[in-house]
Amino acid sequence: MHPFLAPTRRTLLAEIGLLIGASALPALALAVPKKTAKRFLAAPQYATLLALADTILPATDTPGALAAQVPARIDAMLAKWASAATRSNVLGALDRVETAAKAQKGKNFSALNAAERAELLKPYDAAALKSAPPPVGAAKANLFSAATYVTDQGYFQIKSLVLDLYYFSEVGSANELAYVHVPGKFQPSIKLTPQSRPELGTGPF
Amino acid sequence: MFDAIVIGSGMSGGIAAKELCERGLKVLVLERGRKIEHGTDYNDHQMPWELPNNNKIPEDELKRDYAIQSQCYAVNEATKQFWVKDSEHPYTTPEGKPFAWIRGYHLGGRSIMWGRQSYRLSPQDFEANAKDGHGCDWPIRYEDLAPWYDHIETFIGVAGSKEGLPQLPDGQFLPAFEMNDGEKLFKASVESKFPTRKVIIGRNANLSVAQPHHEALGRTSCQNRSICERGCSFGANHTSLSSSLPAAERTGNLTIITDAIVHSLIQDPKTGKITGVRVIDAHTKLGKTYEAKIFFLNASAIASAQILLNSKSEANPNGLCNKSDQVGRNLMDHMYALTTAGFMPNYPKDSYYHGRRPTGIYIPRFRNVTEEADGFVRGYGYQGGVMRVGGKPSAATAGIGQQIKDSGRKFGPWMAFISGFGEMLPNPDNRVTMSASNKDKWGIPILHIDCAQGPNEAKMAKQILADGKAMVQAAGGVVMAQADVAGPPGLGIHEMGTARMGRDPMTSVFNGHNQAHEAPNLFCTDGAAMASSGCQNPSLTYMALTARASKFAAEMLKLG
Repeated sequence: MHPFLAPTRRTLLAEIGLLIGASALPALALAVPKKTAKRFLAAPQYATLLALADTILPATDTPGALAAQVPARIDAMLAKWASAATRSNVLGALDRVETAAKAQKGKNFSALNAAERAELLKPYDAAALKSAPPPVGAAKANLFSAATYVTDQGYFQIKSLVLDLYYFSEVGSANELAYVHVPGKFQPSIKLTPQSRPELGTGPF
Repeated sequence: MFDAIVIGSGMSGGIAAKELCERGLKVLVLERGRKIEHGTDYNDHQMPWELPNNNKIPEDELKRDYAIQSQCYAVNEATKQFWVKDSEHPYTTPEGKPFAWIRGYHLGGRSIMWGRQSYRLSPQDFEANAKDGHGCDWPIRYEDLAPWYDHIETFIGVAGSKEGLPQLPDGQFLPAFEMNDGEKLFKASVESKFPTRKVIIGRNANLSVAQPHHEALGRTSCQNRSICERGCSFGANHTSLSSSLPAAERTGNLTIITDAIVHSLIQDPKTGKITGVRVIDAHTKLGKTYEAKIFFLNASAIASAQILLNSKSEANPNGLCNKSDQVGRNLMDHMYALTTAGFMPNYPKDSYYHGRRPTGIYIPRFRNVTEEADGFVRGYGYQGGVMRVGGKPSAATAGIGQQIKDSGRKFGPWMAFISGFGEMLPNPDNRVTMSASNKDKWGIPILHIDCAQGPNEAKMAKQILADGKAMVQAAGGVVMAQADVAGPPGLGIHEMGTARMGRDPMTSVFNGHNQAHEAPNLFCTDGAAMASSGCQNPSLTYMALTARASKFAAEMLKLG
C-alpha cells in the first residue's frame, strides 16, 4: 500500500482535533503528530476547508488532497495571495457548505463521515458549478485566461485551488500524472500504454 | 573615455556590445535596470510545488503593480522579477486606445523572457514600402542583410528546417525540433487542401544541439522544459546573459554599468557629433555624464525614441535627430492573439510525446505571396501547435472524488491552435510623445502612447480568423474557440518603427547603416529603426542590423 493511503482519515481527524480541542476525538487521532501552525482561517472554517478538500480529492487508489497538504496551502494562499474579494468569496462558500450540511444532515460538514460528505457534496458540486451569466463589467475569457462564471463562484474558487494545489504538488503530479522537470530530449512520438499518464504542463504552452 | 557607449543591454544592445568589443573597441554598456546574474537569479530549478502561491502573483499586488504587464502570457510568480512595476513606470494612452507596453528593466532586458521565434524578413518585406507606398522605402534590401542573418543565426543558435520559401528565407540552422504526430497530420492535411500554404516547425533560438562555439560560452543543449521565460540556467536559449554579454566580456573590452537611466544625449552643435550621454542613477538620482566616440541606441523602440525626444536643445527644440519629425512616429506592433482552436477527433488516440518542446509550428505568410488578399496589403503568419488534451481536470466540470481523478488520467483528444501575427502598417499618427508637465520619479517626462490598428489591419484581422478556421477545419478539426478581435497594440511585444531608417533625412531618422542622418556617430539598431514590420518575429532582424551597423561604425572609427 502506498504510504500516504492509510493515515488519511486519521490525518483529517487529527488536524480537526488540533483545531477544535481534542476532547471529543478518539485517541487514535492524536497519534499523528502535527505541528501547530498559525492559520489564516478560524478553526471552524479551517475544519470545513479540510473536510471539503478531502471530499473533493479523497485518498483512493492514490493519495488525496490531505497528503498533498492542500488545506494548509490554501490557508496560506488566503493569507498571502488572495484579495479581500477572493477571501470573502471563499469564506462565503465555506459557510454555505456548512449551512447545507446542517440542513441536510443536522451536523457540521466536518463532523460527517467520508461517505456522508461525498453523498452531500456530489449534488452540491453539480449545482454550484452550473454556468451563470457573467456579472456586469466582468472580465471576458480569452484563450490565455479562462474566465468561468458559475452559480457559486466561491465554491468554484475553492475547488480550483484544491485541484491546482493537488495536481501541482509532488504527491499529486507523481501519482496522478507524469512530471519530469528536466525531460532532456524531446520525443515526438510515443505509443500510449494503459500505464501512460498525461504529463503535467508547467509553462504557458 | 570609451570608444563606444551602448545604451541598453537587451536583445540588440547585447549584440552591439559583443560585436563592438570583438572589433577591439572599449565598450560601456549602460543598463537602466538592476544587475542580475545568469543562473543564480533564475527560478528555473524550482519544482512546481516549490513556487510560492502555486506560481500566482498575489491578487492585490498584480492589480496594483502589474496591471499592464499581467496581460502578457509569461507573467507569473516565477518570472515576476523580470517585469517592470507599471506603478513605478507610468505612461498614458488616450481614452479607449490602450497600448500594452510590456517591459523588463534589468541586465539583459527582454532577451531573458523573449519568445525565441527567429525568422528572417524576406526580399518582399524590404520592398513592401516602396511597392505599396506605405511608410518610407527601406534604405537596404534583403541581400544587404543576408550575410548578417547568417552571422547572427550561427552565433545565437537557431533550430529550424530548410524550406526554400521566398517569403521566409532559410538560414544557418541547427537541427530542427521535431513535430509530434498530431502536428505531422495537421501539416499533411493543410498542405494537401491548400497547396499554396506550408506548415513548418517553428524556428527558435534554443540550442537543439549545442555547437562548440556555444559550449565555449557555457551554453548547453535544450532540455525541453519550456520554462524559458524564467531564465535558463542551461543557457540553452540565446539571451544577453547566456550568450552575447559573455562573448563581449571575454574580450576584456567590456564595462557594464547598471541602474544607469539614460536621460539624454549631448550633441556638439558644431560637428553634429554626439559627445556624451547624461545618466541618472536609479537609486541616488544623481546625474553623471559619460563620453565616447560612438553611441549605439538600443534601449528598445519606444525608449530609444524617448531618449531622442528628451535630448532637446536650443538647436533641436523638437528633439535630437528629429528634423524629419519622424521620431516617435510610425509605432507598429504585430497584430496578436487572433487565435483559432479546435479539437481533432480523428487524430491518433494512441500517440503522445515526451518533453515540453520550446517551440510550436509556424505557417508562413501566404496572403499577397502565393494567394491574393481581398482588400488589404501585406500579410500574416501563424504560430501554433497541436497537443493532446489531458492532465489536471477543470474545476468547472462537475464531479468529485474518484470521478475527478479518473478524468485527469484520461488522454483527451488532440487540440490544434493557430494564432495569427499580422503586419501593421507604418502610420505617422501612431506615435509616442512626451508629456509637457508630468515627469517620472527620475525627472524624465513620461510618455503618451497613441496607437491604434487601422482599416488595413481590421480587414487583415478578419481574414486571419477566416483562414485560421478554414485551416483547422481542413485538418479535420472542430473549432471550439476563436478570438473575435486582436489584442491591444503592444501585446505582441514587437513594438518598432519610432525612429525609422530611410534614405531621405527629411522623412527618416537613420540611414542604411543605422547611422543618424543628423549625428554621424550615433547609431540605432533596435526596433525603433524598422521602416516596416513584416509579420515575422523581429528580434533576429534587430540583431542582424546591429552586427552590420557595428562593423560600419568600427570601421568608421578606425578611419577617424
